[in-house]
Amino acid sequence: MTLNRNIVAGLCFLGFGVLAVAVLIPYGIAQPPSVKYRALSPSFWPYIVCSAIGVIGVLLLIYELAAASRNRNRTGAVAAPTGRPAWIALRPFLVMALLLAIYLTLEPLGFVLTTTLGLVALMLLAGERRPTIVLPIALLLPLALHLFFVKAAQRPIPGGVLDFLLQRI
Amino acid sequence: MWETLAASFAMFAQVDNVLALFVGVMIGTVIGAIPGMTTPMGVALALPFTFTMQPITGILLLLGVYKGGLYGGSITAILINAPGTPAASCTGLDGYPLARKGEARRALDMALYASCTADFISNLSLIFFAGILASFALSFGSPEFFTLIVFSLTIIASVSGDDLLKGLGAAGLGLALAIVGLDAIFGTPRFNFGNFDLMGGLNFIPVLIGLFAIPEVLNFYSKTGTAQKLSALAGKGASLLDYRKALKSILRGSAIGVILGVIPGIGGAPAAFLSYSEARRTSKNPGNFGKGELEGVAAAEAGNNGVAGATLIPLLALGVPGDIITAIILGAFMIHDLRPGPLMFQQNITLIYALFIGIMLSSAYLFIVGKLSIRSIARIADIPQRILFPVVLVLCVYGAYAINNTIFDVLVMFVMGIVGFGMLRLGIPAAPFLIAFILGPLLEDNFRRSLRLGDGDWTIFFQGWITWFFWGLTVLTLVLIVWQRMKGRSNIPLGNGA
Repeated sequence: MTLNRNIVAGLCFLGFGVLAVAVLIPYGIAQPPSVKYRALSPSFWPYIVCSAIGVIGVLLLIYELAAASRNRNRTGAVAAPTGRPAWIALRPFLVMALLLAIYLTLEPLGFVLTTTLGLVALMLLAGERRPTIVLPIALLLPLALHLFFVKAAQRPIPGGVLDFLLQRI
Repeated sequence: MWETLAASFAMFAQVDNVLALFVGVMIGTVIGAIPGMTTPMGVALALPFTFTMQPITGILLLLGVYKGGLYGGSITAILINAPGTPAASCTGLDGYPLARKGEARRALDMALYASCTADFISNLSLIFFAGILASFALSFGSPEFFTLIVFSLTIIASVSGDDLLKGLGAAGLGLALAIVGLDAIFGTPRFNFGNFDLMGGLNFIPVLIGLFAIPEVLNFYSKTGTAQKLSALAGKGASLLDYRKALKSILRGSAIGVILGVIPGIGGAPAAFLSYSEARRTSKNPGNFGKGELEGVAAAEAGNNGVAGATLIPLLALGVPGDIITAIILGAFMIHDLRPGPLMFQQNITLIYALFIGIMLSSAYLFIVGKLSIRSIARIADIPQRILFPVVLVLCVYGAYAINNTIFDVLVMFVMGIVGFGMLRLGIPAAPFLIAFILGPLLEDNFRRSLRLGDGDWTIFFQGWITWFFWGLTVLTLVLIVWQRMKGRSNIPLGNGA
């Protein structure tokens, strides 16, 4: 059987529904000592919503399996682009790793330094190699955004290791 | 009457007032266009500057920011699929595909024309129907709200694109995510797992940016040929014929915006989505919606901007703020020792009329500022994607943080971005997720409040003509959706998302 993306979606919905009903709701929603009506309980709505998600997953699987048995050559299989270099397929995951690194360093290094380094990495990953483009953007944009949010919008953007410099501007 | 009008005109016709309104619209447009900078934030930031102004000048400045912000959100939604406001995410459904096809200018023009028309109609409704509509809105209780939101959720069928089941699943996930936080009635934690940051629930702006902007960035990195450019702005603008074709949807969207805008707590997003849904339902080409249909842009913007004047109706007529922005504007009134409500219509009618004149002028200002901004801000469409997308990502980081000054919102945005990318790859539409996430708390709160009000009696949801009216509309809409899909008018089978 071809791994159709509808089947994957159905499995995801079903998996979430089962996980929520079996684990997340019982352990993640505190029940008050007494509830007058069942429908007023904090867990009543979540049970309805998460059960419905599970049912939608089942329906999607049934529909897709029935469709697959009718037409085994049906289109819709998980897209597997051919002729695409392996590193291109890896790029979204590299960007995700970069997002995690940005999140972890935003406070200790500060927004300006983190986003400057992040911009350089992101532009290089995207294929922009010209230093005359990469460096000015990477240096000026974070600084401009910092000044806008701090001075005009009065937002306390963390300066991190460059705080002493940024406060003088 | 005429003396009052003359006095009001004299009160308004000051250089300060005219300038304040213009500057307000300009600031609002820019703020609305920046992902993460919300219109309420813009109005709140402008509020301190009004303290030393004349009451009318200060209030006009805030109204300008409000109206500009509603429109500005559509600019980046169309150009880079990073909506500045929740309602603008609806505009992006067709606006962004149009931009990808090289018709960014046309989409931006149509968004502006629809915004100005809807804003004008909404202003007229404010002037003529303030009293009547405000009393109608006051008759809404929890059961009526619940049925209204149930009806609003039928729009999920319209924005689910090619696959209704996946759209419903996405809406379910949105409702589930909206549960995170503290229970509204008992105050007990739900899905917090001891995390303090989750106590207040998830802020919708990081979720919105994460769902719509980040997946586009990740998707860009998954493709070869990184040198391609986004659609250039050189494409032709919207013609008079385009406008005439979309006029019906614009007028309908304006009416929807006015009706929903007058009901406290609804806001522009449901109006935009409902207007979009109706435009799609009545269109001869419903299959084009979501793929770059100009009428979709017009309908979404008309619904969004139709609320602008209408939200001021309960504020001015009854002193009841309909949303967070009008609550801030109410604050501006009170700072100047003015109390909106029936008494104000007797004691300060000159000021009310002067405000009406200014509000009417704001539609013209919106058009001028919009035209100017299309030429300047819209140049970002010419930037190559290999530069634009990294810049968008950094902009999103600052924007997400600036909402609540918390690094947690940046994490929420990233996580939602990765979830959104997964949804994109699996063909699960993001719009139903967002609609359900926004409407979810309203739906659940009003459901439970109604039951508490009715002492556990479920028949409370069928009491009064308003509840029956919305149930009727819901059933009618569902029947039409099923009929359309069975008839195959839109060529959209139930589960065809492949």
